[in-house]
Amino acid sequence: MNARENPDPWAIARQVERFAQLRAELPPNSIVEYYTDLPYTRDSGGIAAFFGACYALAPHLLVYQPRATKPELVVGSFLKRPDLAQLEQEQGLVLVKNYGRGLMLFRRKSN
Amino acid sequence: MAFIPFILAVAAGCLLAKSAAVSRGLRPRLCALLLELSIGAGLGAGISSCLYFVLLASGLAGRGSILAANCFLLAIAALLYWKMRPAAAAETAPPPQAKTSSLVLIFSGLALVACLLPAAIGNLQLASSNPHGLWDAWAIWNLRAKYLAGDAEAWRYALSPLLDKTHPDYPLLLSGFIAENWRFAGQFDTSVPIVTGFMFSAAVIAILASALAVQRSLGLAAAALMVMLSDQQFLTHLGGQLSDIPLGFFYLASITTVLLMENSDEPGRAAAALAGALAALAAWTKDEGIVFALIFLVCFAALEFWRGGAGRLWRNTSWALAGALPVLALVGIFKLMVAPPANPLTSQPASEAAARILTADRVWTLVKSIWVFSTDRGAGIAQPLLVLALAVAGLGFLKPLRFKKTVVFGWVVLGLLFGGYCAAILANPTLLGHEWSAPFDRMFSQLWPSFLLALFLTLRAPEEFLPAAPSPAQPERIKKKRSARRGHGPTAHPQG
Repeated sequence: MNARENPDPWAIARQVERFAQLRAELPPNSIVEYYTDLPYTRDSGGIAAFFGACYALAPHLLVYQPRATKPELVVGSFLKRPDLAQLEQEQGLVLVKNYGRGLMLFRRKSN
Repeated sequence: MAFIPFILAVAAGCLLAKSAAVSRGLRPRLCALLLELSIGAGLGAGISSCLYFVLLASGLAGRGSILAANCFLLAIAALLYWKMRPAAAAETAPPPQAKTSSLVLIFSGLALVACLLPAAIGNLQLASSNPHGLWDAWAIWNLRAKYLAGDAEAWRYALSPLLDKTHPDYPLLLSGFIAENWRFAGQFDTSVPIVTGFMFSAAVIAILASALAVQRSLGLAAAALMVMLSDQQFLTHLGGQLSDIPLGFFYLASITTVLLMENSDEPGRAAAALAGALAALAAWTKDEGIVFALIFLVCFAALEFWRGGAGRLWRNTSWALAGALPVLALVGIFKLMVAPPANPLTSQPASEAAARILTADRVWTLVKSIWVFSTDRGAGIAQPLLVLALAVAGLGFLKPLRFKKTVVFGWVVLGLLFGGYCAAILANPTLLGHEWSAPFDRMFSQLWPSFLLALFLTLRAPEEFLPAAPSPAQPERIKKKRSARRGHGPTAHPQG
């Protein structure tokens, strides 16, 4: 039991606070895609960041690289400042709102 | 506000457990009461969770219906308790109790303080610094509780195939119970999963200690408690809001109920139904619990046949099934018709699973992993298995064994369950080989309390090593003196 040495090692409380405004502004029971510049690996913290975002955004459903239908809304969580023009051009993501601290909401351009 | 369904459910469970009267007439009374209340608390939470899922699936889940369902549960429990209250039932004569020596009382008290205080402080620290729980708590159980507590049809997200990375097929006892309190309160209050976790943790500790205290002795209960709480991994899981402690609770509570049935030649139907319901609620807690419930019911039938032939087999097994089947039916419907097929163990061809189980390399990796995880659960040399070995060496085995049939039953159930765990890990393509995905630490925490109950029932009690307590009767010399002082002859009022 090393709670004092290692309090909240995955920063879940911080994630809940970081996502709070976005969570409140999403339409009820939304399904949103997760987009990040963190690799989805355990060592990079990418897996913890994704699951933390899932927990913070629930009861909205957050999906990562969905195989079937792509949701219209995309939540971006970035370590580095993203190139928005490149994101729009390559991924079809148009910025809806920047929430700060690397958190952004995008809308996917319809083809 | 968030705890109104919680309190109603726990109160209902306590009344139901008291109705079964499994510890009636047992001493110390405080331990017997604690045992019933502890079993009842988890039982109530489990039944309430089942009711909430039925409400969700029928589209009726709302604040009013949650309150009504839990009030209905409480009313049914109160009615059962009233019908089966002690005055209406034949009172069992209390067994003669040996006088507990003050040395044993001091030892037990010190053991309680020495074990429980650091565990309580450590877990409070853990809860305050990790209010959302450990990894599996926020990534699986509390996450799904948020979906189940969401408005309208959000509960279906808890079972969505899109949630493929967080086990959408897992049973919903813990998530459902937390969710109904969140839904009732209208907010995701972190105190609900924290208190729920503490309730199950306290119940596990109380059941192990009080079951040994009422069936054997206070000293043995204190020794078992010391060994149980020397397991640091187990302590971490106690405050981590994981479902492994509730699962361990249902394993322990159902085996303990069978143990308590030993106290009567003709145990009540309610006790058998209670045992069955508790085992089935394990199946509503985690996938491993499904295996446990099936093993438990088969072994229970065998035990009842062993105890009293075909008559007792049919009578008690049918009542155990009556307690288990409603919950098992819910689990069956959930698994077969509602939850997506997301378990890599069950979605592979049987031939592949068999090939994995029979691969020597995998078996060797499993053996090594079990060894590593079981010998690294303490701090430094204070390893629980070492503490356990010292306790076994110090106390020695009881001869002849009391509660022999139940002890054999407990060992067979736990042995088969452990075998089932090993087979499932071997057959699962994703579990072996990754330290972080190996379930061994949680597997040990699930089995640890029941294993200790089964083991400590086979040990001698510390009281047997103490000189016999002095007889409460007064020595003859004092009697004569007092009698002479009152002016009577020593034979005028013979005492003793």
